[in-house]
Amino acid sequence: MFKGTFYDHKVAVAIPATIRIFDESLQFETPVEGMPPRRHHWLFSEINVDMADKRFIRLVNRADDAGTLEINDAAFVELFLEKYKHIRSIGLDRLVLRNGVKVGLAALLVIVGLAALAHFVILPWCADRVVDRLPRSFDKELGETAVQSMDEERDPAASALLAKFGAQMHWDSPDSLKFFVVPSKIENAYALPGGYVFVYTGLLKKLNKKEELAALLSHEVAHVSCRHSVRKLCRDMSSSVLVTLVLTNSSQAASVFYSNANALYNLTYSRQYEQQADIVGMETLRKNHIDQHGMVELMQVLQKLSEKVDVPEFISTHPLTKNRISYAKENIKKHPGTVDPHEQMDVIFAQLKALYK
Amino acid sequence: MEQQYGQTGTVNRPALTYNGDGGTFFGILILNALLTAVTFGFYYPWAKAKKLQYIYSSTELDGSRFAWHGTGKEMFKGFLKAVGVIVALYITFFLLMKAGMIAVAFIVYFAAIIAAVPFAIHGSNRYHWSRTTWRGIRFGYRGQRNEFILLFIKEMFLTLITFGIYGSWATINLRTYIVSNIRFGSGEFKYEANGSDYFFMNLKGYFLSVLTLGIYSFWWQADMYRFMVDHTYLQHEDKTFSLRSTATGGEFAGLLIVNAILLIVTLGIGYAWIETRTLSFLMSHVEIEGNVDLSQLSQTEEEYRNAMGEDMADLLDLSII
Repeated sequence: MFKGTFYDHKVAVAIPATIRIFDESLQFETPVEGMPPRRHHWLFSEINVDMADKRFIRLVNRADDAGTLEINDAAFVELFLEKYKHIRSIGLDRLVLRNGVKVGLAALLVIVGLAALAHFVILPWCADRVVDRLPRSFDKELGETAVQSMDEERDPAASALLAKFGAQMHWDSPDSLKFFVVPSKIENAYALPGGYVFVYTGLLKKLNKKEELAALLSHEVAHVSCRHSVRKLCRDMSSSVLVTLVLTNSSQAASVFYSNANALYNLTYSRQYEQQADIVGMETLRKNHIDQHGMVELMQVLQKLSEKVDVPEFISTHPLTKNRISYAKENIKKHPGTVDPHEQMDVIFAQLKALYK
Repeated sequence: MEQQYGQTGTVNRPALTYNGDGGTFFGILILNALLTAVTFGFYYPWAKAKKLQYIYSSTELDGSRFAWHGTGKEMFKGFLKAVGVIVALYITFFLLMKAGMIAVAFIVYFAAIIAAVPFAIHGSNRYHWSRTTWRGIRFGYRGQRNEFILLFIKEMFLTLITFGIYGSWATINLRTYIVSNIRFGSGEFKYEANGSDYFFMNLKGYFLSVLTLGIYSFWWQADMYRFMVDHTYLQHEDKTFSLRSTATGGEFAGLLIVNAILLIVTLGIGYAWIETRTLSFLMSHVEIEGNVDLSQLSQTEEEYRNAMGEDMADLLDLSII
């Protein structure tokens, strides 16, 4: 016997009810003044169940004996749901109402898990498949647009020599490669999709031998032939799609958190790409019978340049030079190669260096 | 119910409380988010029904809980209708444009947009109140759609030509119309307020907020809440309940500042607790006093299951109730 309150849907009078639960129905009695109590018999099949929390349940009957029965009793709720679930399954939301925050946290974990899976596995995979389907002409157009919009000043004489230097090597790239020298103090080089390689004079001046320059060009060309820019573009686009899908209704704080986490994560992508470019670049050197130690020496040059600033690896776009040197050395051990003299390259390299004496 | 016997008869002071629990509400919201995400948004109406059911069932008046009877299915149908209307509007617009009747097209378009807001407010009120019950007694909204649309357009027009100054009067007039048409079974709500009072209150609130670099805005908030609550009455036969807000500016400041801190440090996950705190605060600061006997309220309002206005209001991003 349980105690509840009955409302007859006619007036807002709270009528006390004593209730008994059976397998497929419940019975309750309501007092009538000066008469024996009125007996109600409700089949589970004719009632609507509205559970508010694990202590409170509301049963609404819209059939002939219309009314609402409200019971504020945890024992009743448990027993009733036990019997009632044979009639209708108990939804996920009832689980929440009975277990509160635990189910919420579990659901939150599932959401985070799904989002992480989508972000780290599914979307990158899809993005890579998209890139594989994209024609090379897309890279070319993208590169051309970038070249035009950046519009960097070029050193024609040095660029011609660099192109000549590049032509001495055999490249495994489907793109037609173009090499340029940009007069600038910046000690860097970069590649644009479609085969545009730019070397700043700042870096060029620091190079000591032709192997270093060959390694630099091999590294940049590897970025182009592995289509790193286009891959990064596709991944960035797909993660921004995910952001809009998942975070449409969530708070500003959460989106800021996500975009920062994403920016950090993109840096690990970029380090993966750098490492791949190093390894593929060394393969190019090997195939051209150029000493692979050029890559190590190039890294040592870069190390000297970056000695002034100490950036922790996890916020850096490139792997730490120390790490690069160690995996480059290991890679040489694993794949030793023969070395030809390449005198012509020495000559061109000397001419290039002579321009900046 | 607390009762007092005085010279004028019985005085009742039924309590309004929110007993929801942040953890459970968090579970509901996050489960809703999960299901909405995996169904590409189609679960939204059901999610909304679950959320409202919980909030209503956690709200207690005089020891009895409110109930929300709206369903995901009704709101999904309403959503389809609302989308249908919008699509039809766009098709009409483009057909008129193609036919070269550009002026007509724009007039139709803007007329429809202007009418959509009051249409949504009206529909939303009808649906929302009809699906709300307390002790088995339905609420209801008896406003007339066309009357309300005309009133709304008139008030908006006056606000527009007075560069917004009339806004305070418009707000009060619209609120008076809506609240005074809400029924609680045989009980009737009344809203009696003066647009000028509201205007001067807002004027004072605005300038003091600017002068105090926003600090006064909490007191302004308290004033606005009080203005809404204190001018609302419930009448039943010849008896009246009057409402009174006891929330002070200082208390509002405490509520809103803690809410903001919670939201930031939990990166938004604390939203459920914030909502719970807010509802609990708003309801516990309403005092109801008068001689209405709530148990005499009888069933008078019809059922209304058309959720189109409700969904239209969601699509237009209006927050109405």
